[in-house]
Amino acid sequence: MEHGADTGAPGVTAEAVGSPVPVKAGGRAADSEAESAPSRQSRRAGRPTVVLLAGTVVLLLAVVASSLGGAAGLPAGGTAEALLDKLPFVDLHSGLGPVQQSVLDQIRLPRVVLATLVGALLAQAGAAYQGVFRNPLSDSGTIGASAGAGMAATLVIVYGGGPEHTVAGIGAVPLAAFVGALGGVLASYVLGTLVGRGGTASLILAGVAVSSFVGAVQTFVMQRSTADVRQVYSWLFGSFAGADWSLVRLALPYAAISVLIVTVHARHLDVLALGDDEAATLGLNPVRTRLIVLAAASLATATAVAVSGIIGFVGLVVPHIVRRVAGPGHRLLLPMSLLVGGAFLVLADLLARTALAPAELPIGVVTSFVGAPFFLVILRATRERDR
Amino acid sequence: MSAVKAAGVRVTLDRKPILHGVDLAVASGTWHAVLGPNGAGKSTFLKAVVGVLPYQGDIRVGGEEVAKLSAKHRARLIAYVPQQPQLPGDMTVAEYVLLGRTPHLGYLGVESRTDRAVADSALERLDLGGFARRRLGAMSGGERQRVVLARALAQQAGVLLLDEPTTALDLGHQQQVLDLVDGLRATEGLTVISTLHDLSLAAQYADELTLLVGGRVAACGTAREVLTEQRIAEHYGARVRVFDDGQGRPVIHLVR
Repeated sequence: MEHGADTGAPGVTAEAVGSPVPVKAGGRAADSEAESAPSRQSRRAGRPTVVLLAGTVVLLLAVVASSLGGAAGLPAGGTAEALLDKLPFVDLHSGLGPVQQSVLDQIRLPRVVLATLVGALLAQAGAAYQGVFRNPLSDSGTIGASAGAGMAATLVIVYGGGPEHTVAGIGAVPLAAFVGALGGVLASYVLGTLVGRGGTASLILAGVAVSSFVGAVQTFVMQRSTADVRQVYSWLFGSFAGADWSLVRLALPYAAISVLIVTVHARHLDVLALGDDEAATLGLNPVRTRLIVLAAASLATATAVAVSGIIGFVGLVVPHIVRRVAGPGHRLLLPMSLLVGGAFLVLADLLARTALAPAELPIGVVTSFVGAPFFLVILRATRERDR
Repeated sequence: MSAVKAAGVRVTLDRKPILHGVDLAVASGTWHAVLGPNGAGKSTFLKAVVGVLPYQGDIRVGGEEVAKLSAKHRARLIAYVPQQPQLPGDMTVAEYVLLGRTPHLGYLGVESRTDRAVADSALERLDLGGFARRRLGAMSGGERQRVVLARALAQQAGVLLLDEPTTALDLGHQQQVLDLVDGLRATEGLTVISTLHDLSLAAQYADELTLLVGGRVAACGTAREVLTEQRIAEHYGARVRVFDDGQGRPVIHLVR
């Protein structure tokens, strides 16, 4: 930025581009010269905003990219205009024809929105589980949520009339998955508390035990009914192929509640990182906090599983990546996990429906196939910090 | 007036009685050392005082009964440094010390300018100003102990409980940490209760000592009164000689 002044070449473009920057830099320099200690604070306060802004931009870009790509081949310019037109107070005439417009409105957009929502929920739930258990490997998979949902959905597909069956207008499979996810967590929690007084290690162990028990039941059921195996499998690896606005509406209230509760407890999770005893001496009730956050995160997981099936890896990878960028503080980690999780899953879904078009890949396959190597690259690139 | 007063404190863990009626009174602004052989119940006693363990009997801090206080209220009165504090490696020193403000915050945990100022001042007083943005994982043992003390100071409680503050520190750092605590006691009027393994160190720094043996108070008083050759032989099963350091404080030596 000082370059502009140094080179002094007063070209019109150089001035036009360069002038806003020195003003900003000058302002910041004045701040830090005035008082040296507060400048440290202002940077601390400024950085989260920058990180959150970057996360938002990434998510928006992912949403736009995903809205454009797909089998129907929507024109880029027209679609962008149509998307802008959706914003409040913006009135644009998009160049899309009625068919294209309806593809965008009824097929593409609900799918993109649902993928964003599910990705955000899974990632934030993962971050919350990891905070509650003080274990970076915790995920909806480790405490019985995914397994419970999987078994319940399998039972409904095999014995309960399949996906076409509905209860009070809601698909029986999502409903069963929702109940199963909560049931899996509850079983893990009760067992963990009975066995080991609710310590984090015993909860995780109980979760693993419940998961493998439930998994065995599921395998047994599937083996007895090979006709439904394909359907069960497609559900077990997750998909947004059936996405429509009704699923979005179904998920939204639960998503809002769980996100709100988890976010409110961000600093509690920071304190919990010091261990139960120390958290208690700082005035926190560790058991109550853990229970509240666990319940909210499980609600998020159950909601996500209900509308999309089981999608692994998001809750594990995304918080880890975010932590590398934003640090371990939950007040930044939780909202950033929402944004990055949404972006990650939207892009994964784009890949799932375009890579082998017109065939679709199960999204769980994509998240693991892309996510695992990406995860390793990130870990390697930032490993210096582990020392 | 005593800042901390315990009467008939009993603690049972896993149906095993650990403390059998411990009495103890600590005057405001003094340093009280809790001594005793392994398994005497020293740490258990501190945990009961800070409210982490349920107890029977009566523990009062500033005249208020600990068991009846809300966790938050209690945390404003008593700060506690455990023997092995958990320091999340990726957290910065500043973030960690700011957690000491927790009992002064609302449910959402939004820190005010005052909270940040208090935390910053705690950092300065422990010579950690330059470390604020350093990761905890990159700190040495002595620095970590100072960071934990800074967090306890940021809590602004009048009573500071230290469980073996010098374990895992070399001689120089032991002295540094204890001098620091003593300085804070003198300048800020903190009441300090600490467990200490090293009897000579306890004699140097503490105003009064309580010797716990098997969950009971075996002796209580000044270092000269408590730390006698006969008593140490009896309760620690150790052969020792007790010398005077020339200023009326006993120095304990092991002998062959």
